[in-house]
Order: sequence, then C-alpha cells, then structure tokens
Amino acid sequence: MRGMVLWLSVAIVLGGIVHIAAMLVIPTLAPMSAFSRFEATMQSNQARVLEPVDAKQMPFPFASPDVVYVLCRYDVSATPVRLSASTENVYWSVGIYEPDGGNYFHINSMQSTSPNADILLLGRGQEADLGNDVTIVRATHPSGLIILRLFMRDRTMVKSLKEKATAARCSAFVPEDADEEPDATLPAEDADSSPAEDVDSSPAVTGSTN
Amino acid sequence: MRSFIKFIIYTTIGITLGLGSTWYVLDEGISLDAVSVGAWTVRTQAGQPIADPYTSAYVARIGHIPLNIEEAIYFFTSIDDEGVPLDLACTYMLTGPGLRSAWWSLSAHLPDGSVIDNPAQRFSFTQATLLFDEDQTFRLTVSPQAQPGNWLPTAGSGPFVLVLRLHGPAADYVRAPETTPVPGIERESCP
Repeated sequence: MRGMVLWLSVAIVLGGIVHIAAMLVIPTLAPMSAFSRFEATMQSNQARVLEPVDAKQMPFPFASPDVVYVLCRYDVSATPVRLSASTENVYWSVGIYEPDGGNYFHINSMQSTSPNADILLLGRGQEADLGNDVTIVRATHPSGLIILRLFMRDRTMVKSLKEKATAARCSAFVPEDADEEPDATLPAEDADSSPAEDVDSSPAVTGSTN
Repeated sequence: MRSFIKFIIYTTIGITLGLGSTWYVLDEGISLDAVSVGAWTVRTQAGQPIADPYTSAYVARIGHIPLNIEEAIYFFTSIDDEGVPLDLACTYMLTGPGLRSAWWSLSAHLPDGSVIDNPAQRFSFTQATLLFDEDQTFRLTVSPQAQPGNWLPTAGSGPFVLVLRLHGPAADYVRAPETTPVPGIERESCP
C-alpha cells in the first residue's frame, strides 16, 4: 500500500512537470500560432497585405473584418528593418511581436509624431537616427513580426485602405553613407493571408514598449 | 522486473495526467488573468511579452494575434447574460452605451475564428456604422432573420462567439477592464 502511494505520488509530480513544460513550449511550438503560420509562407523583411476578412478568407483566427492588415516578418540580425506607410487621415496602429506572440512595442496614429506609420527597428548594437518623424525601436529578439493595422470606419474604405497597405514598405535598412548598396525596397506583397517577432525598449523609442 | 513494469505504468499515468490537464486547460480557455465583465471575458495579459503562461498558450493555440492591453482590449463571449451558450439559430439583443476608445468594433465569429457567412455579407459593426439612439446608447440585433435597425446577421445553428475590440481604449478601461460598460446580451427567441 505504501509503495503504491509512493508510485502514485511520483506519477502526480511527473504529471505536473509535463503539464508545466507543455504550457511553456506551446506558445513557441503551436502550429496555429501567428509566427508559425507566417514563418513558412513569408520572406523576411518584406511587407505582405492580408486580404480583408470575409466569409471566404480568414487571414488568422478572430481577425477583425474592419481592419486591413500589413505583416512583415522581420529579421534584424544583419541590418535594421524599416516599415513605412502613407497613412494620413487614417487611424492606424503598429504592433511588434516576438516569435512567441509577445507584443513588446505598439504605437498608434494618435501617439505618433508623424501622420504616417514609419518605424525603424534596430537589432543588437545597431544605431541610426532618421529624425523625429521616424520611430526608433530596439528589437528584443532578432526576428519576429511587425503588424500594421489600418482601421476602417466602414466597409466602403476597403479599397482605399488596401491601396495604402499595398504601398507600404518593409525592408532592410542601410544608411545612405554606408559602403554597401541598400537592399531593394519592395512593395507590399498582396497575398491571401499570412503572420510575427520580438523587441526591447530603446531609450529613443516613441510610443509604448513593454 | 516488477519494479520496471510499475515504473512504466506510473510514468504513463503521469504523462497522461500532464498532457490531459494541459488539453483540458486549453480547451476550456482557463487562464489566470481572465476578468469577467457581464457575459464577456477579457484576458488582461494577452499579447504581453511576459504573460501568464496559460494565456500565452491559449492565444497561441487559437492563433489570435492580440495587441498589448494598453493598445487594445479584446472582450470575448460565447454565452448570453444568463450564461446560456450562444446559438446561431437564436435572436439576441445587445444593448449598451458608446465606448470611449479611438476605434471599436463588434463582430460575430464561428468558434474557429472565421466570420459567419450570410446573405448580407455583413460581419461586424464599428462605432461609425452603428446607429445610436438619442441617449447615445445602441441596440444591436444578432439574428438569422432580417431585423430593422442595427442587424448583425447569423446563419445556421450551433455555437458562435462575439468579439468586442477596443483599440486605443480609455485609460480607465485599461486600468480596470471590469468597469468597461460592455453591451448586455439578452436572448430574445430561439426556434
């Protein structure tokens, strides 16, 4: 009897360890997670416009039908990454995510000093200054997701917001005085769907970091 | 040999307990930071870099990509004010005041997060598309049958989820989400 109680205790402790381990790895390994879903289908440092939500398209679960999403899977291991979009007269927000889904930076049009969404994401040891209209963010992780959200008042804005989204740029950033030519700045890829990233706050950051 | 067999049996029991409890917690959407507001639930740490592990796992499992609560508050519900599961075949009346945030919307989804196909191809309302009464409150009917006024169509039968998103929410909502005047959800009829 005593032996059985001991074995059962061991089983319960083991169950607890398995439970804790599973809960901790799921954000990174879950195939449905944002980063997992978009990692396989997106090139890094390139913007992609997600098709607006309707009955036939769901870019990701519980996406808002009234938002146009632009995603950029960033990689700042070699160079900074810049996301820019002409977003005047539109309520917008930018969220930057770690691969496990942690949203370490966010800013919206009411907090930004510029009417346009313009973010420069720096990796470890990288520095740049592009003036007050560009928000500088220090990445907490070398890769992750940047998501620009453009909010509709109503569905009649789908076309105009999609045009703004398609013109958004996300690309590796090389200062003009650098020896090497900057990477090509590609327009947003218009795709059926796709997702994510990580950051640390920088003393130069405008907006909110976590 | 006997000890080895016991080891295998109880190790299997332990692993089954661990994985089973993980599945249960995720399936039920249990998290330590959940705050109930009427029929609605908000996970206050969803999207936080250092969040309650249950919330992080839940968010990863459903594939949602939430912003930090300072930027957006997401209220979810799959029940009405009486605690009865929402059914696509039923008619519900949502009533509430306008909400203080830069932008907000209300949408209906199937449990997998997709929107509900309907002849009107209407999936949501924003604060700009809702019709408000003179007292600045709104009444929104969620129903498979066409309704006058604010009508959010559903179709079919089975469970569904309502999502209320507040982007750029008022600071007091962020500090105390339970004080947000979320809409009430009254079931009016069921076939």
